[in-house]
Amino acid sequence: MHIFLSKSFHSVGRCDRIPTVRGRRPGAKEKNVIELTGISKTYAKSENKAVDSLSLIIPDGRIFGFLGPNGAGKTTTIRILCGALEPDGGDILIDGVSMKNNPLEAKRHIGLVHDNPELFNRLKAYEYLDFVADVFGVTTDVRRASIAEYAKRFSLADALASPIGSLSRGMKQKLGVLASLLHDPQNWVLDEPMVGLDPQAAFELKEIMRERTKAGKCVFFSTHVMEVAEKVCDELAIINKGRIIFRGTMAELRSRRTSANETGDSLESLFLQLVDSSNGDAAL
Amino acid sequence: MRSRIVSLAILYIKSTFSLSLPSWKELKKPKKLAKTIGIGLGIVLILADVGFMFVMMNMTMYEGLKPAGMQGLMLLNASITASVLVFIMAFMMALSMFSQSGIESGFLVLPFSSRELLAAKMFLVYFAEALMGVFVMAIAIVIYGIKEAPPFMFYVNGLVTAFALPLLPTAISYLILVPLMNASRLFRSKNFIIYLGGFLGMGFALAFNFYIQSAMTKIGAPASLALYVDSGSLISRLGQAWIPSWLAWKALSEASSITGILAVLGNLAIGLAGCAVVVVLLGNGYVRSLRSFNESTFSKKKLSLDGKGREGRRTFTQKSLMRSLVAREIRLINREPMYLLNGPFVMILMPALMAVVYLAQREILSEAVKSLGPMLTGPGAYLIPAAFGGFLGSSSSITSTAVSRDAKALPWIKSMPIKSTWYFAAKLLHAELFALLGAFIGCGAGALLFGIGALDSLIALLLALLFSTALNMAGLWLDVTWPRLRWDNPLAAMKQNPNSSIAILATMGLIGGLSGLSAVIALPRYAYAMIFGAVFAILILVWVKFFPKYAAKRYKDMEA
Repeated sequence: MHIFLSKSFHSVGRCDRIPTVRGRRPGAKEKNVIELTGISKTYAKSENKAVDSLSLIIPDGRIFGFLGPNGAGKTTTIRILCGALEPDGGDILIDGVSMKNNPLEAKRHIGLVHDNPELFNRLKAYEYLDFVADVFGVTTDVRRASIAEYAKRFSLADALASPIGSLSRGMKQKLGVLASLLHDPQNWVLDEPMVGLDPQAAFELKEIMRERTKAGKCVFFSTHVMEVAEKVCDELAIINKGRIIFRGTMAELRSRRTSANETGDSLESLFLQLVDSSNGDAAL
Repeated sequence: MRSRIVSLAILYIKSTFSLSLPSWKELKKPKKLAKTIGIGLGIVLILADVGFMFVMMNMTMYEGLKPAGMQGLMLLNASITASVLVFIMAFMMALSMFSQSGIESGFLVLPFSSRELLAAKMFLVYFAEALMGVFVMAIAIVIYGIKEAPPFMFYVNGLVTAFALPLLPTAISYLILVPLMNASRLFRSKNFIIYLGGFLGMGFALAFNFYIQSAMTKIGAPASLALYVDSGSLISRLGQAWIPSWLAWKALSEASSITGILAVLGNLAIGLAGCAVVVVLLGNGYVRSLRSFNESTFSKKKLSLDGKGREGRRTFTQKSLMRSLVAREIRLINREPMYLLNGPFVMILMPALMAVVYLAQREILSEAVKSLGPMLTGPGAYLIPAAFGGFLGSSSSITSTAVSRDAKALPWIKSMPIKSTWYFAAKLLHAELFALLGAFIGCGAGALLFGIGALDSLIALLLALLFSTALNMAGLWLDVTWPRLRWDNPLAAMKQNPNSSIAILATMGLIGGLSGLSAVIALPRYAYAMIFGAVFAILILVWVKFFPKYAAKRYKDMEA
């Protein structure tokens, strides 16, 4: 069955072609997209490539999901994208601004929700927010309005005076989300944002994602849960062993399910089969 | 199959002391070999340092008491010293163990009885203190053995006694601490325990220092020694009051008789009985303290977002990036007890320690100060206070651990639009605030002690500031080059970071070297200030010129 499916995927469509957005190829300069071209990364103490010649275009106005199993290279890609990690090769353009040549300006276009909210347990929540706002040069009026709005939506208002260490995992996650939105970034990048969130907060997060894409902004988030991607994403890319093994819309992924497996397996099993088939050889 | 209690005790010991010796294969890697040799040398140096102190104390006492035929009192002194030391250390360690109650409460879901949990934890404390007890006792036993050639049973009794001495202190420590933990919510806070432990530890360290310094002064002179070992003296009273010490003395001084054996057995029986009683009586109380351990600091305070009132104006208000970065640095170090106590708090601890030493050995040090008289009429008038201030100003370990402490947050920091220059400048500025404080305290203390005039004091302060700044810059360079970026416990970034030790040793070496140089080379009074000042200023300028570019590259390449 696996062999059959793998062969089917190979025959159905290839993802090792350079991904395109509306027919555009990487390299063609266009504003308001995140563009990764030929990104590779091998960690200093590792022999394996965490990210291998990865090219991806993340358009505005869409919720773009980034899926992959644990250790596939999602966080590494996000860290490279946000300038936290230096790639061994390749280019990153954030709304046309090069992360390599103009990192400060490129970073100003991004709001990042980190995968680890356990960072500054000794700081109080308001101190953390003030710090982030100061880094992005958010004026007093704008930060107050922003904090008031999102603290209300995420039920965080009563926690602002507390040390971050005293907050639950979910509260810390919500604080990270709030902080990432203070400067109203054009590109909102979230690394496993749903982890630890209660249903109400998860709902709010998805609502904000949709609001932002409606406003023409970019939302790019990673997850390893297919169900989340299925409900939220307009478009997605699947990564395994540092390489993109699928990129397309949910409809394209669903159509692949139909053509690949007439028995109508779930998207989750399709995801597993994609990952499984890419484990044996090169990216699909 | 091991019993649960033994397994748990071994787990505690391994996790507390990280006991893992490298294999031969690992030692073939030059870096691992160098690290192992370095750690080994460090341990030997520390043991040699402490050992030397006790060797001198015992030797001096033996030589002083021998003419009167009272050399056996040396063993009483060793027993009391070991008892006091293991008691202090056992209490401190037991207290610090409670700061891990949050983690340890995870064991409550496993099938351990409350007594097993307490017994295993007490064994951990006992294990550490037994090593200490054996170390202190062994020095006295070996010295006495060489000098007096006692019977074989002397050594057997001595060794068993050394292992028996920490039993009762361990039991008493838990007898005090378990009810205390259950008595108040205040004690069930990790931060409170760390601070309390830190301050008590410093208090005990100062008191023990005072005791050793006083003892060394007294046993050096025959007249004082007679008073020191007199039946009404502190040591004699302690010996009579603390039964284990008295039994230890009997076990050693009457080793060949049945009294000696009975004393050893008595010591063991008292210690084991004490531990058993505490385990039986306080097992449930101990588990209760773990269950109720609460380190939540959730604040019920509501912040105003409308900017009204003093607090409203202060919070959620735009500030400059540099101010925000420096504030972050200060908050993160000052609110982590391990960082504060091992870092900036040194500025307070060091002068306090010096004051204790001065009080304990006032007469000797007064003489020493007088002997400095000729130097104080020359350049020493500003060089000596400058050395005090320079040492204190550069001993906060802020810059030499700056990047290591930030390891966990590095990916986040690097994803923000913060120039590496600003990031490192904030770290340096933070260190400089404490350098100013340290230089002021050090120079001020020197000026007061030696009665230095205003001009020399000002020159000393300027030199100390230049020296501290140059050293802080070097410390930052060091931690940028070899940061410790992978750790689980924040303590590793500061206390187990070789950079902080290297920085402090370099500071000491440099001050020693410059002092030697100043003594050897004769120059006009203020020429030293000009030369040293110029050298430090040049070093600072070199740093300003080259560091930002280097740091930017390193910052880019760092992978936490």
